[in-house]
Amino acid sequence: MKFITADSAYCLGCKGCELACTSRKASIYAVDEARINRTVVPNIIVTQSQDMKIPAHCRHCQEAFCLQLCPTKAITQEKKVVVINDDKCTGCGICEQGCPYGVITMAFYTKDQKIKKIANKCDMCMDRQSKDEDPLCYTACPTKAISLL
Amino acid sequence: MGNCHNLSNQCLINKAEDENIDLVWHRYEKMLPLCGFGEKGICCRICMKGPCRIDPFGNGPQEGICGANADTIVARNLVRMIAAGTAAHSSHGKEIAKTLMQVGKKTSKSYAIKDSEKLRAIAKKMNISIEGKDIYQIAEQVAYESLKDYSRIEEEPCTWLSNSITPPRLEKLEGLGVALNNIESSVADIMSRTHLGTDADPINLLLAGMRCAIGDYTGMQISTNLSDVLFGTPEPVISEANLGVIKKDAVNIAVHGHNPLLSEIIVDVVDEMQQEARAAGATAGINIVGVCCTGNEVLLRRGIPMASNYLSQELTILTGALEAMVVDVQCIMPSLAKIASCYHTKLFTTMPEAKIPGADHFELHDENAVENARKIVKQSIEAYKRRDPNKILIPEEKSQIIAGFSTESITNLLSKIDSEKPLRPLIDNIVNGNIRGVVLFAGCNNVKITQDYNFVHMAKKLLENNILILATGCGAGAFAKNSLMNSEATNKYAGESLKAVLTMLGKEAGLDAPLPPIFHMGSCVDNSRAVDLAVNLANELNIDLYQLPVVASAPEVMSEKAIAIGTWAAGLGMPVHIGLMPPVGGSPLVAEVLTSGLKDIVDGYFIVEKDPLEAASKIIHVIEEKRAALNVTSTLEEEK
Repeated sequence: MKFITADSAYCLGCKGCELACTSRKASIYAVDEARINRTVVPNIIVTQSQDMKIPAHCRHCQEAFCLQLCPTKAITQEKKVVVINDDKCTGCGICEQGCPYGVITMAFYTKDQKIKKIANKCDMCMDRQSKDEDPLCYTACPTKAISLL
Repeated sequence: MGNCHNLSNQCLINKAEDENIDLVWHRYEKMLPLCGFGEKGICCRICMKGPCRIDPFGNGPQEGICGANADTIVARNLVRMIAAGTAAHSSHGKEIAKTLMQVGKKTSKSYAIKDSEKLRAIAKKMNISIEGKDIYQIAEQVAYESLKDYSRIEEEPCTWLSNSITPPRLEKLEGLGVALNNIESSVADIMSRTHLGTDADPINLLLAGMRCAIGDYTGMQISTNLSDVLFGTPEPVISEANLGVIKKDAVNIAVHGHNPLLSEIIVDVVDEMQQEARAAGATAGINIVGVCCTGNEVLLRRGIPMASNYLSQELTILTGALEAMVVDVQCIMPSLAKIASCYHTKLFTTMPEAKIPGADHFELHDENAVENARKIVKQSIEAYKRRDPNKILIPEEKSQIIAGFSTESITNLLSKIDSEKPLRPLIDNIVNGNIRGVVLFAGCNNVKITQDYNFVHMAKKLLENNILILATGCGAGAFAKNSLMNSEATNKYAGESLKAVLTMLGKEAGLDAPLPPIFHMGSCVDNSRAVDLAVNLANELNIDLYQLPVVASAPEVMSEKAIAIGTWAAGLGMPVHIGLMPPVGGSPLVAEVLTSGLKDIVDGYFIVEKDPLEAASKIIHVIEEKRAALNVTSTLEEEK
């Protein structure tokens, strides 16, 4: 499994990575009845501090706080990738608060005419990687500010 | 970083937050991070194969899909900005020239000639014979000859270019092929050559950009001079500036934009409707206030107080005491409509080419200008009745200003000292070093810089070093709001020798106090006034413009018009300081040409410096270099 790292020295803040990430998720949700009305949010977020632009992304920590804090054990580690099991997630938001990198965000979906919250995080494009394709944010980055580990 | 240097405005920004209204600063925060490809000018959207982006770090693509590299893309994008700026300024001038034509043909219902003396002087300058002609015939011919600068087929340079710069400068521009013959074709030329698959040579593109920018200058000369004919040449006036000019017990109408064709009519009809406003409960009657360059136009000619420059335009509505904002063209934030809808404020658009969703449109063309202006004022009085007293918050601060320094009024003033050679006292004081040099501040505000901060801090340092300052556009607005355009500012900030000169001039002008240390010359098209003054000085000394200890500065530059102005100022030989990097960072070649290579070709060049104090130091150094080259006292020699 490949992981990503980002070098802010090469980031121009174009948000190509954000767009790539959301478009992948949108295409997955579009064909999945259970998730069709789910809000799409990127799992890599370009932030700015003074003149520096920084793509914030999940580090897939070895001893991940989000995994340790999750009260429903919805977060697990598979082949070193920290993933959320949507069916087990109750949308409590504790993982969002626990993440030291601020890259878990809460999204919304409608179920039984009720609006529900669900946690949202990077899965390292496991589906793509299983087909020998690279993570989409890496592919989309025009300046190679994102590289693979 | 704060939002505004002038702290009195902050209470309205807080008010906007309380009322959940987004202002320019909030929208900027939401837009971050800005895309670096656009910032560096290496995003090309000229055809539909792309958009293409060049990787400035060398890892990704180095060419667009068509093969254009960063240099070509940056140069194309830059000259397109110049073309847009030129189009904006020169179409403003064209409207004025067309109006003068109607006045000359006696078909105008709303306009007249206010300064026939200037009209005659212009005719003389344009080599138009006035013998046996009445003022209308002269007006018609001046307008016709001016409009030719927009449509000439012959290859000779534009009249308003060749008659307004020094002979050696004209020769230089002609030698480079940038002394254009036709303003509009110079804009069309840029659009044509930047189309996919045409000009790919960055230097050739930049030269075309220079020619187009010289067209911007030509259009400005037309705008300023013909506006003076129609509306009067500014003379020094005393007025006030900042949001405190909005009155609680008046029907407040702001005029905003650039073209005086509209605002002059509004100011005219207000007098006859004062009674109506008082009857509606506004005990102070109708109060017109200016915003942006329309504000500068009516300030200089009518003494109308100035409420705000570009960046804080939205705050005029946030006071809750503005009945109407009447806008014409350029620099009008579309957000005004939405913000006005949160209040009783009416937003009126007046030009066919500038409509805004949510605004009421009353076209002010010659036919019905007065009638529609009355309707606008009437609706403003109606709006006053709907004002919510609980939503009123007017910052009290306002500062006194002396404005109205046209080239003519400066010359008239100086002629009281030496009637034969009026410029002599100014030249003598520059030569003997009482005035080290002159800096022309122009250009916009930019949300990336605390509003007016750079202007104010640079000016204080330059004044302290005995440098006289001229100002136009939103630069002038910044100084007006921040108490830098009155006699007190001279006493407070000017160096000893500059203070002595301004005190002497103030006495000659019949004031008990010194002249202000910064001369307000008008709106952004009135940069031509500063050039006229510089050209007169250069001609008197028999030197070219670039030799004068004169520098231009736009420390909070933002618009395409400012890029055009900066480019022609460099083309006329002036060093031009800008406080932000324009979108050229993606091409080291283009950046190098603008900041250094340009100097070898046209003597002028760009200095990019963000820090205002550092920028002032650099400008002082340039001025002292120019003084040394002229063999007059220079601190550089002293250092040696």
